[in-house]
Amino acid sequence: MPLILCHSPKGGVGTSFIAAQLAIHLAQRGHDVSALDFTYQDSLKLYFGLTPAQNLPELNDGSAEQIAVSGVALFSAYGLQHDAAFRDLLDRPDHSPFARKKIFIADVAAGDRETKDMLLPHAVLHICPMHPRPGSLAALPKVEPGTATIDLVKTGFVLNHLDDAHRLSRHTHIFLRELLGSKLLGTVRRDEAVNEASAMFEPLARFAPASVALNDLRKLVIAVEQAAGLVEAPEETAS
Amino acid sequence: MRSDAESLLARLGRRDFRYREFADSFADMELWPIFEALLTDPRVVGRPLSKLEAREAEAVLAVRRAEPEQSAMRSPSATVTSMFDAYQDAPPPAAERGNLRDFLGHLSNDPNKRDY
Ligand SMILES: Nc1ncnc2c1ncn2[C@@H]1O[C@H](COP(=O)(O)OP(=O)(O)O)[C@@H](O)[C@H]1O
Ligand SMILES: [Mg+2]
Repeated sequence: MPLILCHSPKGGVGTSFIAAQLAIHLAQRGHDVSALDFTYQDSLKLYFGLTPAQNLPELNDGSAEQIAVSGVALFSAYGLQHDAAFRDLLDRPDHSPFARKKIFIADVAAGDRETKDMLLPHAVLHICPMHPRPGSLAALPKVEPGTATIDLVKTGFVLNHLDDAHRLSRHTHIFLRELLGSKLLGTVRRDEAVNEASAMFEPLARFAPASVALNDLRKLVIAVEQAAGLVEAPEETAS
Repeated sequence: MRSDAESLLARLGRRDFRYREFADSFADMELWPIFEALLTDPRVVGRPLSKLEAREAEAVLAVRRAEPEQSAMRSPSATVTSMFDAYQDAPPPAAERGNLRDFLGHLSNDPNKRDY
């Protein structure tokens, strides 16, 4: 049923990477997961080890052949915010595509406020990835304009690209932990293996099973399961 | 826990405050101007603190300042005090809680320290 919306007001912070990895890790933990790429960029698939030329089936094309990688069904959903039928479905609670047992992970581009605003009311959780960098910090007031960042109820933050060798990165971690409290769901360390895996068209877990980022993601997914209320899901495997 | 810190925290309603954790995590953090800007931005922390709340918060942070184990690294030259300057003209206390108080609360709130 639930939709987990991945969106950050700042681009390039790893939203697509985190979306893909959350999908993969939730699938690994026994959930039925679909990942929806709402971006024009169309690069979510890279984090599943697919090539740029491999096209994903459209979410609203029931007849298209399905693609599943690492246990996750992949769909392109770009442009659906302009699809009247899709909007109509969202507004009918009984018919909403998100009112099922399946978990949907949506990857929405930073600049695409329209899609983000369309999906947010239907999401059980909004994941906002961040960088330990001024540009990402400065965008904090823009996570959900009109609501103070520390009062956001649906949003969980992920500090990606963490690097303890850098002072600003360390301090940003402490700062966000104190500012956001339990809304900081986790951190993911910077790991060049993330890029190398994509360049090899391999999922990170296959390319670099010992990746420190993977280790962090395994912790993160447990926090996400809890924040999204997925804990009573069918197959709860002991980690 | 130092008794002055204890009484300040009690006044802030944080009887469960754990001084050690507060010192541990916060003493390692330098207050970069961008952090300060966010802490004084109502779009991030909600309504500004009242004068009284700002004074209490400042007192709590002064405890942190007194901690000896400050890092010897080049400081980004922010002072903890300046982060409250913006509150000097704040309106009188409203009935609701202060959000910077929440911020300070987060320092103590989390008994199971995360290890990420
Ligand atoms: N933890 C990480 N360590 C190293 N590189 C990362 C990490 N997370 C993301 N990246 C890289 O950062 C770049 C931006 O990531 P991406 O997910 O495409 O960002 P966004 O979707 O926010 O624009 C990509 O090249 C990606 O491989
Ligand atoms: Mg992206």
